[in-house]
Amino acid sequence: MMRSGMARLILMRLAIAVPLLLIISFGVFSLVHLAPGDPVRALLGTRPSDPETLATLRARYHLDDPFIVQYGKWLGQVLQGDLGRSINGNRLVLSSIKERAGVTIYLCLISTVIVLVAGILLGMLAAFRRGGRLDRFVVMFGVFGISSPAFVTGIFLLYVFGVVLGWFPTFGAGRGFLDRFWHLTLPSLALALSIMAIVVKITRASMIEVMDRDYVAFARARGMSAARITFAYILRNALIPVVTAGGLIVIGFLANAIYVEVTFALPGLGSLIVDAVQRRDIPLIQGTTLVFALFVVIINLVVDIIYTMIDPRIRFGKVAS
Amino acid sequence: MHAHITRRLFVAGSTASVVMLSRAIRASAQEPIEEVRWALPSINDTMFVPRAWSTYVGAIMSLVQEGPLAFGDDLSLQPAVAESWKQVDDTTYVYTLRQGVTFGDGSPLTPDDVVASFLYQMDPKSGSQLAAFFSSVDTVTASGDNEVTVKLTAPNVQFQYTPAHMAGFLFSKKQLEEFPEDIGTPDALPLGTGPYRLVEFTPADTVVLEARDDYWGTKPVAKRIIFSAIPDRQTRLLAAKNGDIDGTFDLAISDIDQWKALGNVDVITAPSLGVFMLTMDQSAPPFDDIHVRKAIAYSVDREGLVKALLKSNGEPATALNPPEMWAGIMSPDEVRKFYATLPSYRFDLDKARAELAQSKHAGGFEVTVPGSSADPYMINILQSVSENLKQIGITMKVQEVDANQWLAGYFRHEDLGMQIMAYYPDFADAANYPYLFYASANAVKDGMNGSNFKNSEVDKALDVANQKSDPKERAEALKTVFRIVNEDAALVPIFWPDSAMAISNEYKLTGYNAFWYNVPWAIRGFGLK
Repeated sequence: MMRSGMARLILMRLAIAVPLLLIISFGVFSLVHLAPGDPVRALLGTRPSDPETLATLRARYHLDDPFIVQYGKWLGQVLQGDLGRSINGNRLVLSSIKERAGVTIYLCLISTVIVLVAGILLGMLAAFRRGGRLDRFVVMFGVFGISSPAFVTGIFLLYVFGVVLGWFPTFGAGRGFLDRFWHLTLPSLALALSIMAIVVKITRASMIEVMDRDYVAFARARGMSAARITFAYILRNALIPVVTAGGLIVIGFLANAIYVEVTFALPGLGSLIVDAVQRRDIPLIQGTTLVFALFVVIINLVVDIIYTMIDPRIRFGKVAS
Repeated sequence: MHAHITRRLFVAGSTASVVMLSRAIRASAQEPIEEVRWALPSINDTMFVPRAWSTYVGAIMSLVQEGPLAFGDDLSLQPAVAESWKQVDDTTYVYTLRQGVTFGDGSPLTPDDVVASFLYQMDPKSGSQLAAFFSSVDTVTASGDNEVTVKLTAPNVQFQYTPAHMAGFLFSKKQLEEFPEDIGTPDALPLGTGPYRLVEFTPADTVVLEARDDYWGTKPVAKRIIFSAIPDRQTRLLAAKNGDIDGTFDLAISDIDQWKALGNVDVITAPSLGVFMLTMDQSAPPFDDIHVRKAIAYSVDREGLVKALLKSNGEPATALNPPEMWAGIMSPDEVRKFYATLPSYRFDLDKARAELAQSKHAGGFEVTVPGSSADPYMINILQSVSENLKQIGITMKVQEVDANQWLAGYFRHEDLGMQIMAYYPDFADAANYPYLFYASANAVKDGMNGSNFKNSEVDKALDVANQKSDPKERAEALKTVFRIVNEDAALVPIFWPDSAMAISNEYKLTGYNAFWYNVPWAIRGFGLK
């Protein structure tokens, strides 16, 4: 019963995802076409060009076809599992994405762990010391992190931990698991700091709310241990809004990753999409946004699944109003 | 190698003598360097120049691939893979290839490889970004065991440089045929006959080069060169401060003081041979009026801009060509003397006002000029000019757009009005810029003549400069061009910026010049100090 419910949830979400991805890809395609600029000109730069070559390039990437025909050709290709080749460099879009995705996923994973662990702990601390000096410090620290742009935090971390202390490398993504972890520590921290405040504040607020509930007071009256009350009663119930925000946070990472990747010279998806947009590289823009959109859909699905695990009411579709 | 053995013999002796000896070797012979770490603002997704023609790809691939000819430290043409070459007549060039030149995989270079490389560039189906350099070529043939003959459709002096810059890179015919789509990607690392072999390539991240023992020319001093992409200017600076990189090209001139303050690097500058300019579309009002054009020309504070934006690393431009562009025709000093005789428009708002008063637009007008936000100087230049024009009654709006929008707008060649343009050369020839910016043939869509300047006398003189090989004849023709265009205020040159690089102060690089992206820099005076 529970398993089939879960399977139905996943299937339904994936079914909704298909038209959603279509709309997104069409929207992005239209935007790229509306934006002034020219992908072939991006190839040639400020250089004089051979007219015949120009015509060949335009024909190769269907740039002279009507807008809707271009989209149709692209979609037909995608349905056959082919994202095409980039205009700049003539590389398979799928290979570029595969190469770059590793760094971004690794970066976002470390950041997520930092944000969830540190953010929830700090939020709990602040809630327990509500109104105290520690509470104010934690909240201030969070606000400071969220209000300084990720690339500023990045440069600051680079200077302190990379140059002055020399603990971490100043650029690049490293090779192998451990070396990569070492290279990605500062970028993940910069990324995490840019978003941590959300988790801290949500945890704090929802903990405070739950702490005042009657069942918590009753649990205390029954003489249960403080640890049990904190984790089994307060935290579990306080976590639902945090998990909801968790999806948004991971998606927010992708947006901020663009800055962090450029600051720390990381070859990830963020820098790939920035380059693609600057060069109006239509196949590459389309391919990367499709992957991003798919990622967002999957993250939302995962969040929903975790959600049902924490809150059985949702699982059984019996949410009381 | 020799240095190592010698040193090992002396290890038994006192430490002091070892140190002294190793210093002596450093000073005299070139001690091999195990590894050099070099940063570039970006690393492309492919290292195949026809699909990735950029200065950063050039800085890497000029060490891996080479053409029949090369540029010397003085920017002149030198033999490279071709040990000699001659121009048989106005339209025929013959290149005699060196014996024993091999590709990085050990296979020998043959005339067929040269022919295949050039034909690849010429074939519209290849979609090469460098195709325009071959537009005057009719046929390329292997005319002997070690000889290649190129025939042009019409005389064109500028073709002589094509075999020396990135357009002339020689590819392996076998590799071109085997990997027509993937050549240059990590799946098919590009082969070349240059001093280095490309052994590792992670797109957008790193390229690793290894020195070749079997290179025909100067043996490389650095055994390995690792290029890393560091897009952020501040990060690149911190990496240098930390000693994580040994050098980098293409510093923003505005950051030069910060780089100099690092203490552990030397900053080297050289004229870039580039030029910044304003073009004004003469085919429509208000810029069809010569007095309006002169008013604009007088309103540009070139000296001020060079001081403020370039920190004096550059020169105010009195004409289109930087003096060094006249290589082979006139010396820079002679050029400066000649430029002094031309009508010039030194910053003078009173003269600007007077010119505007004589025009049909005495009451002023409004103009919007797009500039690329990616360029370090464009927007600042435009804002400065806009402030000055405000004082004489012209309202100039600066429209900040991204690089691609600015470029596409310029080359669309419609409603041009006033535009800002920056141009850097591929070779030093005095006819290159004037032809691009003043020939009526280029006043078209996808052409560089954004002023729509058309003058039959200039066209005729440009033909002479492009077709005749006699330097004197060319000099006279080009002088005529510069006299006419400066009198006409056909466009407004702004400045000739320097280019700058940084290198760890343990090393030296004596061969740095405007064409750092077109020469094998690591064998041009690179080594320990």
